[in-house]
Amino acid sequence: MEKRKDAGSAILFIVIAIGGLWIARTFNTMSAVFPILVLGLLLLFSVIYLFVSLYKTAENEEEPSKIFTKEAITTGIGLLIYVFLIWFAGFLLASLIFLGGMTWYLQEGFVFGRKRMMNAAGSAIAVTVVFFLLFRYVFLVQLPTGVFIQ
Amino acid sequence: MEIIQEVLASLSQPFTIIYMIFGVAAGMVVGALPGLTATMAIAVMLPFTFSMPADTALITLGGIYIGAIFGGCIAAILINTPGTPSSIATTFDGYPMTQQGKPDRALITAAVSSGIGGVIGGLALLFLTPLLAALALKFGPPEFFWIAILGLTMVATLSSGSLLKGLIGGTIGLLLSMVGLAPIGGSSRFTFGFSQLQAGFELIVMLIAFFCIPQVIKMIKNQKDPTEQVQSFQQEKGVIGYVFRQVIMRPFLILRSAVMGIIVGIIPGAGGNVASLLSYDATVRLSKDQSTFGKGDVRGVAASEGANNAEVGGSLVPLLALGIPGAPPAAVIIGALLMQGIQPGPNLFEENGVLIYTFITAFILSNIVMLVLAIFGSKYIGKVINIPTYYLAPAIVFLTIIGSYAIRNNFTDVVTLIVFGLIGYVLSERGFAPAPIVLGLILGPIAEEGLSQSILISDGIGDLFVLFVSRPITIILILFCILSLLSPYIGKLLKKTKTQE
Repeated sequence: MEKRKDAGSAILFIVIAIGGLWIARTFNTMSAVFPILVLGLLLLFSVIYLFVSLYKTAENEEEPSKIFTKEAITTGIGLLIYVFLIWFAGFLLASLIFLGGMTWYLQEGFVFGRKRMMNAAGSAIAVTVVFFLLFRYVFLVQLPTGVFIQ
Repeated sequence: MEIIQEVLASLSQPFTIIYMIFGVAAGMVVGALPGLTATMAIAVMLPFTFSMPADTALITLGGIYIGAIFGGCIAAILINTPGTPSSIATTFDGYPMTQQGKPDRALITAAVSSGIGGVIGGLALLFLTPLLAALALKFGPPEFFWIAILGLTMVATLSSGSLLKGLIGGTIGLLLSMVGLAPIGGSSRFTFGFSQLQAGFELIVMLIAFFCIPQVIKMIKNQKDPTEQVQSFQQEKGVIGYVFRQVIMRPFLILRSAVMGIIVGIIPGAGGNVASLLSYDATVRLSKDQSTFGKGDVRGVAASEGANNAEVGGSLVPLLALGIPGAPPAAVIIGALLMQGIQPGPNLFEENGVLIYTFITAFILSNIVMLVLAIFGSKYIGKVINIPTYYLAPAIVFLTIIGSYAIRNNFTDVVTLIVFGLIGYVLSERGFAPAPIVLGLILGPIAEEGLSQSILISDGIGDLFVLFVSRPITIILILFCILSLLSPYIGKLLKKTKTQE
């Protein structure tokens, strides 16, 4: 299984290298020198990686790790929703929702009932407000306000 | 003698001392926030210094610079995210020490080595400025190219486990560094029609993406796994004494790191990140026992932090002697000098001798202030790791997002952070360490500009090879590259010979 995943990664890198070299042919000479050099190296290393992974014996195989666990997928989706909310509803509201939601979710199995909700709301409000004020009024950063307020 | 008296009189003003302490403390706070750099901290404080006397203004800004470079190590040690690019190498051994429940040991090691490195950098600034500035002028495109290649040979040290995966990671980093307009040639490369990518990826955003986001996902993933938990912080007695003994026992480690930091600092274009990485690499290669590096070795933290704080002094050398900033924060300090009506350059020491010597002396004192603040603050800062994951992980994500956005007020940077953070997580779980990727990202632009400009220069000479071998510094750098590539084999050969004997 691990052998197949390594071979898959190698093929992906080979595709990236060949695709990159294909695009690089449209650049002018001075812009293309370095990309061609680097992509050539990537292609070479990826081909070697492919052969190494195909001829890897069972003893040399690394311990397989679970990449896409329930927690990892939930966090990944949470991050993507957070970015969308920043664009849509603005930084302040998006951060309150993300911090509150994530803190509430991550307390599962550790904190229960009303306290879980209070912890989530309290930490979301405290962290968001403190850093929003710091960045907005001390560092003078204009944070995103969302699509409705321009 | 008269100058010494005037310098002492200036430094004995209570307000000067207060501003120095404030500058260092504020710099430490800003540096500890991922995404906020020393440059940004100095730039934000610049308007507040207009009304100050010139010496106080410079001392405050110098204090912020020193504090911010050290502050970067706090996030690197506690949450495996470099607060500033200068502290990338600190994550390699600093975070494993935190995982072992010893963040105070890592923080104090960083403070002591930063303090000593910073003082050595300050002394170099005081005594060697004219000499070192002349060396900086000898660095042209071929030298920059080879210094970048020397840095890239570090992939062997940084790839944990598989050298092949490290090499692929390094080339991926180089590839990412090419996105946007070509520095020479001007073609728009790998932007796929997105105008937002014309300026390329912001280095700090990519640093946070590859180091921090995967770490946060792993923290959450392993929250309920008792074998993967970071040990809780319990303050040890005698840590300060232990760290000082460790550092005093290895004077060459700090001295070598500081010298490397100073040399890299005076070369305009290379920064604290290059200094700390080169110093870490040299320390690993020159150590007899390399097995503990990457697992929480104090030598790794000391090498990185000693170099990046010495680099601060180094970066001010070309600024004071030639008016050329050695690093981005030094460029902002040039602005401060000009606003005070002072023209940096060869005549600076003659025209404003008292002011400059006051600044340099205060610079050395600021490093000592930083050391004291960091030592006493470490026992409180270390408690961050005792905060439960359900509070810490969302708060870290929040800080990285706000920090990434604040760099250029650009929403694309936030999208970049999350997309590459998720890619970084998958890559790291597949055994591709983030360090070689980031190394490629840092050194890519330096290598490319050096190579492209060398090719253009060689058109006049007729041969690129002749250009490379006709310059003494280039030859030395090429020899170092060969030595660096062969050092693991030479080490093995020496070990084998010794065992046979």
